Amino acid sequence: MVTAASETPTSNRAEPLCTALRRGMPRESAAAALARRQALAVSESETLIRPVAAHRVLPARAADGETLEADGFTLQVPAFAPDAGKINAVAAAACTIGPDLERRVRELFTAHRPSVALALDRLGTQALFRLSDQTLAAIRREAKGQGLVLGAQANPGDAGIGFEQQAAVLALAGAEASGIALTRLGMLSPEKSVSFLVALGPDLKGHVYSGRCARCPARERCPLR
Amino acid sequence: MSPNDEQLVQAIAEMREDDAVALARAMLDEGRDPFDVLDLCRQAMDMIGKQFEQGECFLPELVLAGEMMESIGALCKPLIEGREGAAPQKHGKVLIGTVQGDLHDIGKNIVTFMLDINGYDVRDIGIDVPAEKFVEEMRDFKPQVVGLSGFLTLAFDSMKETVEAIEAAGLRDGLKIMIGGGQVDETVRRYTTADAWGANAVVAVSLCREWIKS
Repeated sequence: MVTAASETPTSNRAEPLCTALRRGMPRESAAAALARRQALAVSESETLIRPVAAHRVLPARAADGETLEADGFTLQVPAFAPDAGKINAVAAAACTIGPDLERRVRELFTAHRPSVALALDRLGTQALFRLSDQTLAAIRREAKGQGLVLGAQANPGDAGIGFEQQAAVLALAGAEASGIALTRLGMLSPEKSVSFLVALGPDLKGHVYSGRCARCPARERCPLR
Repeated sequence: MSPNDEQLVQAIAEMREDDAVALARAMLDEGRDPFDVLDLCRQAMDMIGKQFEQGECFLPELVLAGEMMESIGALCKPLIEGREGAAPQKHGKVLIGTVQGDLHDIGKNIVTFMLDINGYDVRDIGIDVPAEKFVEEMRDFKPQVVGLSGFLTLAFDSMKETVEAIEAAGLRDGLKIMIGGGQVDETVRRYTTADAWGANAVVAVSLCREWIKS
């Protein structure tokens, strides 16, 4: 049972992220692999990936369907509705790899090196997803220690939680020191940032995580699948 | 097409950059018309564009082929500039930017690059661009096509506002507006009243070719 906010630091080292990136992409041509290796070399030599992750596990109440109350915030989270009565805690997380990589991507486009720019951008996205997965794993460990099971995950802007909930999710995650800020319209800055909520409860069935792609609105067009 | 011509097209299509540039250089050294060499590059790019549309190659390959075309173009440029009255003509002007409230620019940058190497005069006015800035830049640059980019669903309102601002400024007649971004589709196009939407950079180039006849 969660009675107060708790948090476990996530590893903030870039090296484990970059190790995963060396494996390459599905259906990658030799030329694209070369661009990826060049991008990886740029990223490592200039330390462009500076991962920061923050998360908190908080007592929560999902009283009526889509409404979630936690730490003084009231959020609309349709993704949690099926488990509403069983949710008694929520994990909120925010992750970023920092602003340096996206700045370098812009410089490479300006320098007419779009293949390396594109590869570097993808590398950044992969690193961010990896960091997000690591954070989710940390939440799972922490939840287990408290006798809780993970339910649905919801990323602001995707189906299941509106984009306008972004500020509340960041506040719940305790992301003040992460360097993540919100633009006027609620977009996360740096761009290579992500925030999410995970429903928690002792009697949840246990959400089967079918992978990021299953929830991605761009999956039909994604060349990485 | 001569065997040399075929080799150049094949080298570009197979992403063998060093071979492609060496072949092009040898052709130019032997006195081949640089416009012929550029035309071969365009043929290769068209092949890659078709492969991309059919899902047989992906964005990295498309961009790499564009880089090869740019490298070979750089070899041709001094030879073309040396000719009287033979300066390469741009096909038309395209103004492009990410609409207000959205900071995403990777898609816009790729479209800008692909339009540039396909012979369009492109002015990229950046990210988070207010509608009035689009209007101001249009008055100065006088483009035939405006490209509005936006990844967020919230950007769709900004796209609509930008199109309305262009209309209110009296700049809509004779202008074509294309929109693009992660979740843009025909529904969004209708909402924004843009002329067309594109799922990728190849479509953006095709639209400009269709709209701007040299």
